[in-house]
Formats: sequence, structure tokens, C-alpha cells
Amino acid sequence: MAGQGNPVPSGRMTPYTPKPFPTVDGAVQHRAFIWSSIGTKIILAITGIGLALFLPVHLAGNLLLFAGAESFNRYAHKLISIPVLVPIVEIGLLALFIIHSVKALMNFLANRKARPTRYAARQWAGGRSHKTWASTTMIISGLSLGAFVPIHLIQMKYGPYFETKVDGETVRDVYKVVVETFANPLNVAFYLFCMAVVGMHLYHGFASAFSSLGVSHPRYSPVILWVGRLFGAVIGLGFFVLPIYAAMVG
Amino acid sequence: MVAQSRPSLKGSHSAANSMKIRLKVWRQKGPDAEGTLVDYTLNDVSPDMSFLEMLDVLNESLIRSGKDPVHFDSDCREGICGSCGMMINGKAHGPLAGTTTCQLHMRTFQSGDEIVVEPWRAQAFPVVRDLVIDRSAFDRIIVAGGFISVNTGAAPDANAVLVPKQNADMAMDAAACIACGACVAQCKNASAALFVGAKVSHLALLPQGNPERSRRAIRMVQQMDAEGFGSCSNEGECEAVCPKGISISNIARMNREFTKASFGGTH
Ligand code: FES
Repeated sequence: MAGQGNPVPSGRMTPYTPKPFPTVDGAVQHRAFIWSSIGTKIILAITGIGLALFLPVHLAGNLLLFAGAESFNRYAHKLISIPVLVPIVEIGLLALFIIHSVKALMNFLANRKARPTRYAARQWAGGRSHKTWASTTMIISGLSLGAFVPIHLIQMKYGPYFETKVDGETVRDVYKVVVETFANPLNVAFYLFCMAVVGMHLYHGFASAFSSLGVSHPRYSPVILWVGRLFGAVIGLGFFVLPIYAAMVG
Repeated sequence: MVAQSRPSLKGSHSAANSMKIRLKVWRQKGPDAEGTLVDYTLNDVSPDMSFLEMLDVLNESLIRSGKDPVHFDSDCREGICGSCGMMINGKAHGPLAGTTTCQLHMRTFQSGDEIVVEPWRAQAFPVVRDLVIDRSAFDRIIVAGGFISVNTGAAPDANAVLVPKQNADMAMDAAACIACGACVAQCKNASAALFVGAKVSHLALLPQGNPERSRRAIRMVQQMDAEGFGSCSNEGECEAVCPKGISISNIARMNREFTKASFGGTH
């Protein structure tokens, strides 16, 4: 009855040599905190939360698009005119972005190495697990955002320069930049995709960061999980309407 | 065919509810050998058999026909030793929650089902043969810090060492870990965070574990990293397949213990 299908590989069993035992205090190389698996996750959590906190601020400002060209340009001008704070925040965000990206990439590669052979059959555990499509695609959503942010900066912050007058002062017409960018349907599609991606990244990432930081409570952890998911959905949807609105105005 | 040569087995259940099971089992001669999934069909499986008993029946027929039986680990067969883990249809210990492979019964499956059986897959758990993997990475983690110092001889008066009820309960829950490795097997990163988290928590919660508390957290995590396990993505797949239902809150506690110890503990 047995043995249909592929034949059992033949040949003698290769002898098995386990690793030397024990290895503590001798061969084990102690890694510094920031290179340990837990340290890595804690750094990812802190930088991730830092980056995530910027998003509601950014969104709130951008929603002024709905208030019209003058309000939007006035806000943009006031924002970039704040001395000291703006460059500090910009450099800070850049640092968070770089650290988060590099650490995440290294962490991903180390995790791949930890499972060199993949399973032929794979199932999600279900039950108490909160694995989602968002959590399985963190590296993909992360890489997409890594590509999006520089493109976004080139298109907007370092994009075309138009001038307009607000309250008698000559300021940059950022409103026009936005409207012109989204006159191109390809840009609209690209931004909508990326905003869905940012929502997904936060959907898992926000609550996951708290777990990495060691926050765990029988009552509040589920709350954090759902607050994180809601945060992802709100940010994703919030940014989602902007390109659509700008395209309609244009 | 099994039934013809094993009348005693046939007598143990009626032919009406005997099951046909198609297996795809990972066969690998040795650690460095190439492995492959091999098809087997069992026509007379009793729903009352455990998963391992079903494999025993397969092995007896393989042995009788002069073939190499499927190698797998088992010991207690009552869900407490943790040696029997295998990946069943892509899920550690099979479809039932809170169940080890030895406690999984064939009635969980349908007659005619195809079942894919693979060993735990992790860089830190090399395959020894077929479904047998080397879990000694776990032992080395325990050696690194899973111990406490005690004075032998004069035992302290039981009431002299006070343990809050809550801590005793949480420590006991963490201590339920049988080190089967299902958490590593199920995790997409092959992370041992749940196992190490349970071991660190178990002792950190008790006064007996306090003298080595920070040293333990540092050393066990360092050993875990050195063994080549991945990091924790906080998906909770491990908790969902853990036969003892160990909570991922233990991972959070390990992260706290490790961070505290890294910044100012004595180790
Ligand atoms: S054989 Fe002991 S737990 Fe399964």
C-alpha cells in the first residue's frame, strides 16, 4: 500500500553532529543592544511611532486644500516660515526614516535567514492570532513607502515653483503644484495606491510597535490593537480623498 | 492492505467508519541529504487513532515491505513532553488549538483527506532525518540562563518566601511551556520569542528567580540570537498554535526584562 509516488531517496544516512554544547560564555558573541533582535524591534517601534505621529499633522494641514487656494497657501507659507523648528523636524524625520528603513531591511533579511527552507503547505493559525494581510506584507508596504517618500518630496516640496499673492505677500503657490500634479491621472493612481499602502502599514505597525516596546495588558492590549487599526484606516482614508479632490478641482 | 495483514487492527473499529487518508510525508535521509515529499495512502485508518498511531501503522507496513520507516520523535504521547511536533497541512501540531500532535486524533480529518506532513522548518532546528529535527538550540538557551541559585540543605520555611497570587498564576502559565518548538515552526520569522519569553517570564515573576534576573534576560536573548532564530513581528501566530496556550504577553515581558537589563542591570 505504501510508497506510491516519489521513491524514498536512497543511500546511507549522513552522520549527524550537533553543535558544541554548551556555548554560553565561550563561543557566543554578545551583540550590543541595538543589534540584538529585541533591540532592533524596539528601535523599529520608536522610529515607527515617530514617523506615524507626523502623519496626522501632515494630514490636518493638507485637509486645508478643501478650504481653497488662499487658505492652503497661507498655511503652507506660515509653516515653512517657522524658524528653527522646521529644519529640526525635517532632519529628525529624515533620521527616523533612514534608521527605520535600514533596520527594517536588515531585520527582514535576518528573518529570512532564520527560515531557509520554506514549507510546502502553509496555513495561518487563526484563532487568537492577529496575523493579517497587512502584517504579512510589512516589508512590501515598507519598501513601497520607501520609494514613495522621495518621489513625493521631489514632486511637491522640490516641485515646480509658482508664485501667488496672499495678504499682499508673495508666496509659493503650493495649491497650484498640488492641482497640477493630480491633473495627471497616473499621479492620482500612484498616490491612491501609496495611501492604501500607508494605511495597511499602520494597520499592523501601530499596535505592533507597542507590543515591541513591551506594552501588554489583558484589557488594554486589544484596545491598542484596534486603535492602531483605526488609526491606519483613518490616515489611509484621509489621505485618500486628497488626490481625488485635487483632480476634481483641476 | 494494512487491514489484511493486521486483523487485530481491523477488529478495533468497524469497516464502516474506517478512513482513507492520503499522506504526503517529508522524507530526508540525513541532515545534508536532499529531501522530498513522498505519497502514501492508508486505506484503513480508525478515527480513534492518534496522528502518531496513524504514522505507526504506516511505519509497520513500510517495515514489513522492507522499506525505511518514517522517522519522527515521540515520547509521552500524552501532550506533556513536547517531543512530537510536526507541521500538519501547514499548521504546527495540526488543525486543533491547544493540542500536540500526539493528542490529535484522526477523527479531526475526513476520509479521503490529503495530509501534508513536514518537519519544523528553522535554520536553528536542522532536520536530522525525515520529521526529526534537532531542538538542542532550545537546550542551549536554557543552559544560558534558565536556572536559579538555591542553597541546598536547609530549605527556607514555605511561608517565608511570599509570592503574590497573581504572579504565581502568571509564572505557572509561563511554566506550562513544553518546549515543543511549535512557536518557532509557525512563526514566519522562525522566532523563538514565545519560548524564550515564557522561560524568562516564568523565573522573573518569582522571588526565587530574582538573583539572576537581569543576567538571565541578557544571556537567554543573546543565545537565542546566536542560534539564528528570527525576531518577533507581533502577529501572535505562536500563541495560536501553542499547545499550552502560552500568551504573547510573555514576549512583551521579555522585551521589558531585556531592555531593563541592558540599561543598568547586573550581568
Ligand atoms: S509525545 Fe509527548 S507531547 Fe506529544
